Amino acid sequence: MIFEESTDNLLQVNSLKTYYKTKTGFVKAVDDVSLFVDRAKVLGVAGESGCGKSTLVTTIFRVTPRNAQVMSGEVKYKGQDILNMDLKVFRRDIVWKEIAYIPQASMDVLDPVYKIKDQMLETILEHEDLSKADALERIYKALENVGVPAEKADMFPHELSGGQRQRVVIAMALLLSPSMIVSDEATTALDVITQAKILELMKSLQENRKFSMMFVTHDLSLLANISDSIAIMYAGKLVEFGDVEKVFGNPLHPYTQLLLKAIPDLRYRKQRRLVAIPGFPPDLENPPKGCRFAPRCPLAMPICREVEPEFSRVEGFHYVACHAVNKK
Amino acid sequence: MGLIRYLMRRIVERLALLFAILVFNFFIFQVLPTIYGINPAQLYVPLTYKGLPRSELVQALDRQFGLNLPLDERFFIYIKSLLTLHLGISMSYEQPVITLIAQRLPVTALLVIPSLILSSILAIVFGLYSISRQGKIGDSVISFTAIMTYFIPAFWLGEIVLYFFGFYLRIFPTNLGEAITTYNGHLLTGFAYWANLMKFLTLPILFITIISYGVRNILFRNNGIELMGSNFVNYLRARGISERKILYKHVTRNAVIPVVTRVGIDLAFLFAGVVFIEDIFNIPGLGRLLVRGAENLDVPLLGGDFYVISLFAVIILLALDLIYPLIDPRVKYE
Amino acid sequence: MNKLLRDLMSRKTFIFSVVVIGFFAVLAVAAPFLTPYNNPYRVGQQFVAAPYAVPAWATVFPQYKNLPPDVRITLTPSLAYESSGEVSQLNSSTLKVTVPPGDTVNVTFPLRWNWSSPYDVRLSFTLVTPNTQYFQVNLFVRDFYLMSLSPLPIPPEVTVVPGKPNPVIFSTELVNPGNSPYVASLPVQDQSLASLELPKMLLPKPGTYNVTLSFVNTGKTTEMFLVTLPGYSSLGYAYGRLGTDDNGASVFSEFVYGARFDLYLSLVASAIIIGIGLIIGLLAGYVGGFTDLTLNAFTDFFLLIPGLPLLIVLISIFDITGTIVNVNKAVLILLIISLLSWPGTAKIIRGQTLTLRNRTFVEAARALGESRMRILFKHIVPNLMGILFAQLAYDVPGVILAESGLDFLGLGITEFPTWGNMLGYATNNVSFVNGFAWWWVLPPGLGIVFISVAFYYFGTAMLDVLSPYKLRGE
Repeated sequence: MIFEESTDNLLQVNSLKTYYKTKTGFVKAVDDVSLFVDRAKVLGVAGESGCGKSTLVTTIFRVTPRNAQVMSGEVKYKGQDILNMDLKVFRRDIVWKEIAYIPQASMDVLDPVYKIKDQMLETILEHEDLSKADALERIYKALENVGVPAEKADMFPHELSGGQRQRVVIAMALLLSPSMIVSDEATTALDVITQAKILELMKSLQENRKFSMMFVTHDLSLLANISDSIAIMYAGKLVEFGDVEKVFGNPLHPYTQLLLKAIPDLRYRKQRRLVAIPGFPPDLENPPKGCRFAPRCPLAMPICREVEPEFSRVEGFHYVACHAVNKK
Repeated sequence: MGLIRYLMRRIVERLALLFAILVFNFFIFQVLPTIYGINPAQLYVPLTYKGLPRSELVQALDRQFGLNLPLDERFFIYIKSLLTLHLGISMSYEQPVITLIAQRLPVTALLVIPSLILSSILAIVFGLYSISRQGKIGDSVISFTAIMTYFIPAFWLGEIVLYFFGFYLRIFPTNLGEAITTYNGHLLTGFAYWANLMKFLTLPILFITIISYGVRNILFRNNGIELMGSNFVNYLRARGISERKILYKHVTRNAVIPVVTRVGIDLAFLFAGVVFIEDIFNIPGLGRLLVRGAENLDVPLLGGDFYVISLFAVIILLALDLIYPLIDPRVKYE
Repeated sequence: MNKLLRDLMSRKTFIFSVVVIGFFAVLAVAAPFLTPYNNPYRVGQQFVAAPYAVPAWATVFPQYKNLPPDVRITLTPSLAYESSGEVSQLNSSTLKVTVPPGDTVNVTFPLRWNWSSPYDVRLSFTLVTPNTQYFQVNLFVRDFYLMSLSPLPIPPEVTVVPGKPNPVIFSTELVNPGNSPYVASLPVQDQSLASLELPKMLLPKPGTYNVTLSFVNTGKTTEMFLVTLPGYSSLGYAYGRLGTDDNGASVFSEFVYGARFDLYLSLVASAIIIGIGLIIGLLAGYVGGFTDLTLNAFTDFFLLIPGLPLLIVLISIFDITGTIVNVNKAVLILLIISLLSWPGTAKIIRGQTLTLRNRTFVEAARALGESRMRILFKHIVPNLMGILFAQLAYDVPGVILAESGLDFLGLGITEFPTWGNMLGYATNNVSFVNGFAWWWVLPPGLGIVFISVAFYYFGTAMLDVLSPYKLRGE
């Protein structure tokens, strides 16, 4: 799929299908997803847990679990097909130097038996020929940039608080000044205040350094401030993709609409009831025929259960996959 | 300071455990027979013994080993003897228990320590091979073999190995006496003694290596494979760290932790674990001493042997407590 | 449920475990139908073939090719006598032999022998002699003068009652200088070896050998003898599915009944272990606090006791006292093994309970004010099922190995076959003299290994499939 709106794209995902092979069949975790990220822009990707966001990220970094297979589609970075590139070259030249990754800094995201310093050092030296002293200096600076005192570098991962660990992981991503950063649920496990601080930090870093960012989260509300464009995923499919104002201002897909209604709004606390979406996401091994959201959709029509809706442009930079919208 | 407090707490805990075990031993060896009215001395005097009247002999033995004293008095004597290491005199060997143990301890150590090292190395080497080829045929073969060796009855395979290598192919000597004496019956000395002793011990050492290899291999492999799919390995990969470095540096370092624990526990129960092997290969070590003691209900010998085994276990566990934080930084001296 | 089954069936290791466990379960259940010998350690059920007889199917190997099976045939006289007036057929199983005065009539029974020599040779027939004092009946195999029957008690002659049916049995096992002229003729030092050497001399190699009965009439009138067709039987060196042990007892019977006992004991013991482990683990993990501390110390204590040596000592003590308390040895072993093996299981269940206790659904149930008992049995125990099944399977090999170890050392069960005492007896007999009776040494050991591996895989599969939260146990 070619997006006309993409003026200066850095990363482009074309009809990507990543399936997990199980004993009984295939789990279609990412099924025909196309999107792009422009230079110095932020793309927000949102969806419930299990909708394939993380598989999308791991596919881009080529670190999918052993049973995952890219069935078709391509991922292009600066025009290069990075899925079929030699893995060694990819890991040496693209990963971290060009695209870095900020995972959710859970307890076990860093090797528990090595110090922060050593793990950062290893990352630098894997990609660059640098003296140890220079590298260390860069590490201390990187840590201070994200608000972690340099002496924490001598600690083990479990000795840091959750917020500090998240900052360390952000510093790790910026070590080699990449042009693009993919953040996967980077603020999820944190308390609200730390979450806000981390988000603020990432935003300011992005503004200062002008890297592109793909910000993956299950929390749609985080994306309004930070992103330029938004992609909504449901059950392995991209259901809505567009400019941030368009998606938030005029959500077209019923799923997006419901997601937005599920965000509590302090101003209307009294008037509005919080909406929960009834039902559960489908089993991705045997997804429903037609639109995957149809069983939970309040607007479902007979055709929704039969024919898969096409992903098409509505107007401007706003794409949606829904029969109800396409009919109009 | 944290370290000293940690140490003190651990020592107190382990000593309490040791004391509990000693009380338990006393119960088993002294109280239980008394309850059932068995006099070990009576068992010790052979039924076919001719000479002095049987009852007189039994009484003499009772006096000699203090078996006729009230239980509480015997308990104090027991604890005192353990503390002063005067473990009494064995009824069946008619030698001080401490001498018997001192004689046999080096033999067992010579048997177990080399195999401990060898099997750990093998387990890790094969484990690494398995991890790097997860799900492939090589991995399946190694894992299946490891599980097999884990469940092979040691005594059974021991006899077979002994027969084929010792009797049939005659590669290794099968009799310790023959191995370490010259053909005219003198004990070998110096280098020849040790060389022949090691040659005799090679077969049992290899055998223990095989037997103990399985658990460690499975432990290392399963742990490593789990780690290979863990968050931090994924993050390492995403950072472009090479697979070699991930496997040999990060995964090995982490997966070795449970193996060290396991080896520590094996070491703690080292003397208890080789009962069968010593029995089969005819090695005069602590394990066989224990079997002889059990067969003859040799109370002083059993008490002493169990004491040494438990004491050793407690010391090793304590050492493990101490070195564990060095291997795993998540564990603190607290 | 269907998905669960499909998931299980897609595991090769699970299929392996089901096949192996199923095989042994069938052996155990069908034991009485598979073999007539329910306790081959009893004297009456031994010597069903020669000691160390190889399995019958092993005769396909060249080194066992000529070994004889157990043979039991009725001999028939050679056709030459059909026409003669001296020997005639009285009925289908009896011959009438008419001997003129002072004459001798030989009746020859050819024995077709296709193998190397058997373990023993037995000949039996019933003889009715004339009612006089003047006769003698001699038994030859080839030229060996094996037996002499006469009315007079003069060793080495064997007495028969004139005019009455006399059952006569010749057996190489029972020969001595007092009942066999051939043995009596040997030098004294060789006489005691006769019963071992005779079968090899009588039937040295494949061929046809003559068994001859010679009827001698020393009287003055023509006399008539009646003799049944002699039965020949011998124990062979190839027997049954798994050959025989050193007592000539069927190894297959031992194996099957051993499997029966081992499976039964290990399943019961595992159930007891799980029971104790569940109670202690649940209490420690769910109640927590001081209870946890105490129970944990208690578990540690049992974990630290050197189990195997203690087992040996305990069994020795109870063995000696067994006559006093009068308990079944198997029950005793079962109880002691169970009581010494629960700590590992308890620790695992405790750990699992601890994590379950803090799960949201349990906390929710607690917040809703459900009673402790209800939470325990409604929410925690069902989630432990995977672990429980897995532990049950993991404990089986441990119990089998421990019990076999005891039996092997001769401290456990000795009166009836178990895999452990089979191993013990078999390996004790592995020596230079007896060679390596693989059909006896290998089955019980392989049985233990395979059933253990099978249960291990079974447990692992159960854990993978049944536990709601992926937990891999060691």
